[in-house]
Amino acid sequence: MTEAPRILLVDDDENYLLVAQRALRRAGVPAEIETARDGAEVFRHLGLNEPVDGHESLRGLAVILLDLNMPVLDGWEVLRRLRSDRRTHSIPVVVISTSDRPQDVQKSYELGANSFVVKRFESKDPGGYLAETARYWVELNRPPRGSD
Amino acid sequence: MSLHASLAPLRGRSPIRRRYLLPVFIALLGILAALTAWLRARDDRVRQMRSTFEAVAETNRLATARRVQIYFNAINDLGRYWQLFGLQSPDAWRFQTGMVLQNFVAIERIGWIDRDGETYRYVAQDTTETMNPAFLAQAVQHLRNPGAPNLVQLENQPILQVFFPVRTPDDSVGVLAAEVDPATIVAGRIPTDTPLLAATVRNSEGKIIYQLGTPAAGAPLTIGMKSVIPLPTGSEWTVDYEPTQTYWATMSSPWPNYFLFTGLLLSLALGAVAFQFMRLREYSGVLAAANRALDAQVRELQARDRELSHINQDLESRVAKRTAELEDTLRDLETFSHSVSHDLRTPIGTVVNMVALIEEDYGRRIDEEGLRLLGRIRANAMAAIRLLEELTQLTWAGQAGETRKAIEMTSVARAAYSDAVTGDPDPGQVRFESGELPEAIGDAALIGRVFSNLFSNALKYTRGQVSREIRVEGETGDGENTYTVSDNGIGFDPAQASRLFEPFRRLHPSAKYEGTGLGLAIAAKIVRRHGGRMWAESDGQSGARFAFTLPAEQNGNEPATDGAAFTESLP
Repeated sequence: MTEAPRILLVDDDENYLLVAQRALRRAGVPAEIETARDGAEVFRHLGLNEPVDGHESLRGLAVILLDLNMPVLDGWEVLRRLRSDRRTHSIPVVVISTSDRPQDVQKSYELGANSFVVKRFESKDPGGYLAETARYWVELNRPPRGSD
Repeated sequence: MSLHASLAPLRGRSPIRRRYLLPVFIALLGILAALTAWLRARDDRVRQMRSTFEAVAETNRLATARRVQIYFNAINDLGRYWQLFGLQSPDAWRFQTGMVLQNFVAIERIGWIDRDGETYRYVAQDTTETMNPAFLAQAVQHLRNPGAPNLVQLENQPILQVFFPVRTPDDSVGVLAAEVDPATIVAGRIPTDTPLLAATVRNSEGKIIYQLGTPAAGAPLTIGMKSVIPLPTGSEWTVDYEPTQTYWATMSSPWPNYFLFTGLLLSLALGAVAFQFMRLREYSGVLAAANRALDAQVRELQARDRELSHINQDLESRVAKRTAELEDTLRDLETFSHSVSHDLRTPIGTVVNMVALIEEDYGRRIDEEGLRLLGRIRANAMAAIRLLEELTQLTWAGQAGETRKAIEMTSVARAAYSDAVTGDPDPGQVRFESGELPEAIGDAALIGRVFSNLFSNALKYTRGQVSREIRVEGETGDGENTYTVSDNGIGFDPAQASRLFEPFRRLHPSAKYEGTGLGLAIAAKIVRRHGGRMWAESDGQSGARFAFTLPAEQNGNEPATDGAAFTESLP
């Protein structure tokens, strides 16, 4: 089954989404890029609010790049719900945050984040670090298909 | 009243006088009572013994008088019997007269003598005795001068002679003669083994006719008693009764003296007891006073204690309130600082990103001046981001590190230097010296930040020197270790040493030396949070020396931690 991999960008900052999408496109990451503006939208977008077992909407989802500080549902709550849902508990989640506080990093890992990346604002190749991150999860990482 | 003052009467003079006065008085009173009792007892005893003595003497006198009467009656009756019935045969006479002798033991002998003095009959208590010639002669003489029965007393002989003229029915005339032993009459039934009485019997002429017992030598005359025993003949005996030696000894027995002796001893003992009692009372009085004083002091202390505890509680509640307020303020401040640094970072970062987008996507359509202006925007935005990063560091440097472990200070310092020196435009010029540093207790990441900030500072201010030297050293101390980072840079004004660690404080122009002015403040804050101190020294010309201390033992004074309140806050 060859299906285009998908990346879900979750952030309430339009500028960030703009920069991230541009960087991913410029870097040629071979994936479809989808976005969600807050935590609640993640579950709507992935169709997780209905108790369906087929999880068609999760097919090909390579990684979720998740911001922490968001309205409605913050990143940690999203992470907690994803990890407690049998359908999503093994989907890779990378936390992207402006915070580099050790306790924030630790909490994210404790809630089941696969990686923690501090947001960077670079004057050369903005968002390049996101492209690098995404490329790893899309091209190099092999998710445990069939076991979920 | 102090305890010392209350004990003073023990050493005073007047209570001591009082201490002796009462016991002596009591002892004297006791002695007086004992003497009185002794005298009374002695008098009582003398009186009692005299009355006993008198009773015995009177009984004796009465008995004696009665016995005298009985004896005379008996002799008289015998004479009458002879007058009425005659003398009868000698054997019958002897039998009858013997019966009288047997019944009246005081009669020594009885005889019958006729008027001629030729015929006589004779019976005596002593059966071997024959007719006494003197007795016979007297009887004859008495017969020749007849009269009433008479009592005759022989010279030097305690014997009573009774002569009684008799005319028998056959007209023979004679005289009944009898001799009576006065001792037997007087002594009567007085027990002779314990004689209480000594009796001296005198006849009417004052001659002693009988002496019973021995009068006591020292007996007072008051005890004696004189009594008169009338005799049937008309004359009389006088009897002097006196106590015998035995009775006197009994009477003057020393038991009242024992009583006196015991009484005196008891009085003295009572006095001694009273003395002890007074002393005890004195001491107990003084002790009670001292006790009261102590009680008062204790009560006062308790009152003060209560007051203090009230004040303390009040103070504690105020401190708790202030602490809560302070914690609130601090939390607000840290939250504010945290959110400012993070929330500002995103829009400023976005500016940087957007400038980059413009340069990359539209750079070819913008002229040189436009690109230069974009570069200025970017540079300023980048400076703002660095400032915000430092602010973030300052914020979480204020939270105690989560880990408290032994830190390999040497490797931490070397790693920090490697980090710091990468930002230097000319690292090859720097001579870095690092000795072996003693281990410390703390959070390795935060201490690494301290070192890297100090190294950055040293690198910054040695720039431009001909030879740049940076040296890090450590020294083991008592409970805490001292670490120093020294350089040969431009140094600083010693007067400003204490202001170096204030946030945003810059001692040198920012145009020449880049930086946010927060590096040293962050380092100092981290060190303080670990329970250490940081200070700086310089002569203002040749270099600076930064030093800080860290606890060397795990159980040292644990720094206060207020990080718990922030662990849940969002970026």
